[in-house]
Amino acid sequence: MSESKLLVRGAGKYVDDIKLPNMLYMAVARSPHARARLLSVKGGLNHSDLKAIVGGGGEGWAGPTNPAMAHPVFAMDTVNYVGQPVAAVFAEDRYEAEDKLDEVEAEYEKLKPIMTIDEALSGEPLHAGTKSNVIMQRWLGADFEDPSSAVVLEDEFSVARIVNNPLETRGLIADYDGSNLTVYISTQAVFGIKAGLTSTLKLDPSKVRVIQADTGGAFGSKSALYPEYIMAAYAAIKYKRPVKWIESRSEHLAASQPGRGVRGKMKIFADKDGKVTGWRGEVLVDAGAFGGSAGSMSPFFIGMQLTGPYGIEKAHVLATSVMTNKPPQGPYRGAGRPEAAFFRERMMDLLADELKMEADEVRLINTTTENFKSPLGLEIEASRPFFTKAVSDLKYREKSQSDKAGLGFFVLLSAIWGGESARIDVQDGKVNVWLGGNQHGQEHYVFVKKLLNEELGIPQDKVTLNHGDTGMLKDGVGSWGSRSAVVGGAAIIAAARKLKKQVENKEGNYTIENLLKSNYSSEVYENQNVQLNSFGAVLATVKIDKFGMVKVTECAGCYDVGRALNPKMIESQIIGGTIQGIGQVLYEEVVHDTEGKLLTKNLFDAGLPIAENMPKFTIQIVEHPSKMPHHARGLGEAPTIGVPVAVVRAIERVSGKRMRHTPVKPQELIV
Amino acid sequence: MKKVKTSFKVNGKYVELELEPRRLLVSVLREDLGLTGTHNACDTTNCGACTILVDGKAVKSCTMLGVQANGKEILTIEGLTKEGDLHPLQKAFIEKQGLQCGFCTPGMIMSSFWMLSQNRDFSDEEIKRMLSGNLCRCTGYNGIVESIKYAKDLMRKKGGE
Amino acid sequence: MYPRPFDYFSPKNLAEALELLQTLGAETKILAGGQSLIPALKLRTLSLKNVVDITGIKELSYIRKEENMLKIGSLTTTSTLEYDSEIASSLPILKETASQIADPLVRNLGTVGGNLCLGAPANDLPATMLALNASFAMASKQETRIIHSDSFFLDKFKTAIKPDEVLTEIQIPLKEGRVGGAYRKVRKGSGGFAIAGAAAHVSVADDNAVSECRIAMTAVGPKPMRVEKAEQAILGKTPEAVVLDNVAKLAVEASKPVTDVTAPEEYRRKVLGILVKDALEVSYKRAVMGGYEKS
Repeated sequence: MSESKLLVRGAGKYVDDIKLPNMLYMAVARSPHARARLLSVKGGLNHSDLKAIVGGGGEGWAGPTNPAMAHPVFAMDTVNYVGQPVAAVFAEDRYEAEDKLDEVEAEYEKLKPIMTIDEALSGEPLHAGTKSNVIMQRWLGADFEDPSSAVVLEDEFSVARIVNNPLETRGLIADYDGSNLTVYISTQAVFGIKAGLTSTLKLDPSKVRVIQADTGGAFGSKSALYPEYIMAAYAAIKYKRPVKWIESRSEHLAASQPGRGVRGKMKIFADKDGKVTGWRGEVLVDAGAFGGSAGSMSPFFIGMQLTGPYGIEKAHVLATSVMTNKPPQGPYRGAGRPEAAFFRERMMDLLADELKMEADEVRLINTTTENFKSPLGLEIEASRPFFTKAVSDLKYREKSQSDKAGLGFFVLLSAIWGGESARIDVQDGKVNVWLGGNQHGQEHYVFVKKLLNEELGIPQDKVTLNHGDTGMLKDGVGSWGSRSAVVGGAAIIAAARKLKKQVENKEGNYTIENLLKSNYSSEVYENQNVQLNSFGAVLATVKIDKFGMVKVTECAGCYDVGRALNPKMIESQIIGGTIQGIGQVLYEEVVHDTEGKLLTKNLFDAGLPIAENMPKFTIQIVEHPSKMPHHARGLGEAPTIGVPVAVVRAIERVSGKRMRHTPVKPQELIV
Repeated sequence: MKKVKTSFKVNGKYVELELEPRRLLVSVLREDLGLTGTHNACDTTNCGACTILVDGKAVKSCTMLGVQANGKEILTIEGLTKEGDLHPLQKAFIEKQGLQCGFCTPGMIMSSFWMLSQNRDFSDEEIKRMLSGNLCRCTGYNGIVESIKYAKDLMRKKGGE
Repeated sequence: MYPRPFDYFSPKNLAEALELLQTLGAETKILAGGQSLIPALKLRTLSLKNVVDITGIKELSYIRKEENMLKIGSLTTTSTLEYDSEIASSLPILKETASQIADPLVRNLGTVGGNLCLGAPANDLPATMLALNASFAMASKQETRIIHSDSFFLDKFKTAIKPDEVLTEIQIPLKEGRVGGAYRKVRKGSGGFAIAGAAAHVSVADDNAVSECRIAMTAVGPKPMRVEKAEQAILGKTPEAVVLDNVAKLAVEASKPVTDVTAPEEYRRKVLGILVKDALEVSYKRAVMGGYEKS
């Protein structure tokens, strides 16, 4: 990714800035119906050219449990969401490509769409060859006898779907020279894209190269393999010309893979001093029309985190994902972590109110004083020290009194499994680095330069972090799930230490001069098999005007980052994530009508926050070192986990109305 | 559909083109003139990533036809930089975390440039309101507001620009 | 994302424009600010044979105070309206309205004429023009006519302007004495079209009673409209709570809001009631205190 000094000049090279000779533009014809039989399709490339299902790759990829529920590249017998790709057309320029969509003729027989989780559970299966619309259903934890308790509380919650909406939509160029396929793509994971294209189109991996263009944000939307990517690659191979596809915003709003869209039912048992003695839960994910995307696995991932930073010894949760006639669910910053925190913290606040305790009191009594592994599988360190300090630093009691502040406490589970790879080349006194993950705004080059300086004494101006490129590393994972500094940093350190040994072997001892005077190359893949979690706490205050409109006046947070490798960027990430958290609570949703047609068709309706929505920020970075060689912990998703919890509680306290869902609408609050 | 002769100034240079009327100004800048700094990020005139200056006013180039540029003076992000220097706004955006992924940044900077060219004082609230046509998904806007204020200081110290 | 092909004309004066509008025939539209036309062309909800760009007609951009009339050329941008000092002193309600349209970048291109002629149910200027008793001058090759704003807004996206006409001037009578107006609107916190909007303009007599009143609303029906019943309910009275409540009630009764993705109809009614009261209160205050003070 180009560094900021280029981006401020408009000198970035995003996918659409790349022009290859003899290039074709692709436009995609899409289903206007949420559910229909596709009787015939003529024009462009369609299933008569390629019958394939979307292969694997990316964050949360699970693989469809049954090929009958897999996402086809080109729709075959049926269409199952408005916007589902049906055909692709090609032209010399993008305006003509859009004109050519008129030439695609498709005949449909409309069927009644399934638009809600309840309809999905009770209705007929969407896909022939499946028994129901359940993609997966699993229990987590272990059943337990209802403990004798002072309090038993039940409630139900929902978090609406949200479109990721990075400023740059999806896009790629696929280029085929008769033997080699090269793909330039806006992405979080060049290796995931390569694996997916290779497996879907049955290509020789040694002849496929995926290169990351400058990427204008992603938030989870650019790690998956999408039908459009496969179409472009297929067309490039067929026509032996580069094929460019740039998604329109309308397409992104309709047919990318939105996140959230989850329901939770919770039942908790507690004794009279607020200690939770048992937790039962149901997590239901609206996974959209096909199995295999992140939505298939997310209920399990959410269920696993329900106990959060608390030492709850008995828990039993049923995790279910169901198919509906909507686009498949994908990861959106947080990817299940915010939903788990929402369901849990809403219950903790309910418990506080029921027992007439302070919100921080009821949480404190459930914190842990040593490492704890929850029956649901989540491992945490002692949470009491962090929480006690955070409550005091955030001035919770004072703001609770004066402004009815809301408080949220959570744990961030970094997706470090799979680890990462790194390569360092030294040549002509310059150091070039490649990482398996692909930054898209997070300034990974800052921690790379810093760690290389610490490990090897290399001056920072001699180091370049290059764009993600499958041609330059044997393998890699990707940038998502609050993992990059943790796993990327670990891989950099491992590669650096390997380099150091190489120098010692050659020169007898390591000095920076000995390193830079010769040529070296070191590449490592560092896997990670442990859990690495970190705590965070957020406080929020709100005002509600006479129209029921909410203004978040203050958002204060304490975040344990282990070690702040890039303090300025950490702050920027927290602020950005905070605004997204506010967006989730106040503005953002995906709305379909009963026919499945998308109603939230522009960025206003999608609810993207604007500058005027900013609260006053207070950010406190906590550094409780992790066991990783660099001591850092994850951060990226933390604000999206804690902020909605605190803001919703503040709304609840100020309005006096129990809050159970996001977004909260002004019509619910107007007096 | 007849092509239309269109001539205008871009970043101080005079250009003459024959344009299909339906082509948007943002496409003309990016594809005909190779000025890819201006970005096209939505199709409903919401996001402002395409912001440029036309005759000194900040406008959304995705909601203008290329042929409408006839006789006008256009300034894009590429035109802010003199001979390798960075404009104070560009320096400020780097210094004060006004960007992460950079995709909204050229539009943000051009919008801010217009704001600062009005030579009046803005409160923080007014700055935020003036940015209502420019969306950012990464930074949460705080760094952008700080960058604009810092740029104003830098420019004041320099004796204004 | 991109428009279908069309032919483009850029007349240099009004006569040329009017000639084109007559000869080009159907599927021809005027391009002024383009901030509504171009988005429709891009989404392909509208396809045209011809676009007649009238922004080259510089004579249609002006703001003039003539005796008891404020005259605004139809190609004046809404941004110009927002910053003009004459408008700020003579008609602060107009500055207030313009400053709430869309966003500053859209306002740099969008024109007063365009905002009116589109006939959009949720646009801002129509309500304010109704409250200001405005009239619009329209020219065709054959004639010039003047239509009062009360007869201009006919239905959703339908106004009294004919396909071969150009709206040239907006005429707003300026009254003597204690007069004041206000425009209040609510939209989603992250931006978008109005949930509801209300414009009010009052004259206050020496005895402090309201002697004249015009109230108009937007986004709560197929077209922006005045509410005469509500206006009458405050004539001869001062704006006490019970009077304002009654006026608001009548306005809400006359409204026809729909439920859509922006807001449900019941909420729009509630919001409208509050906005009507606010607009009236502020109008009265401005009339009595004189000058423009932000409320």
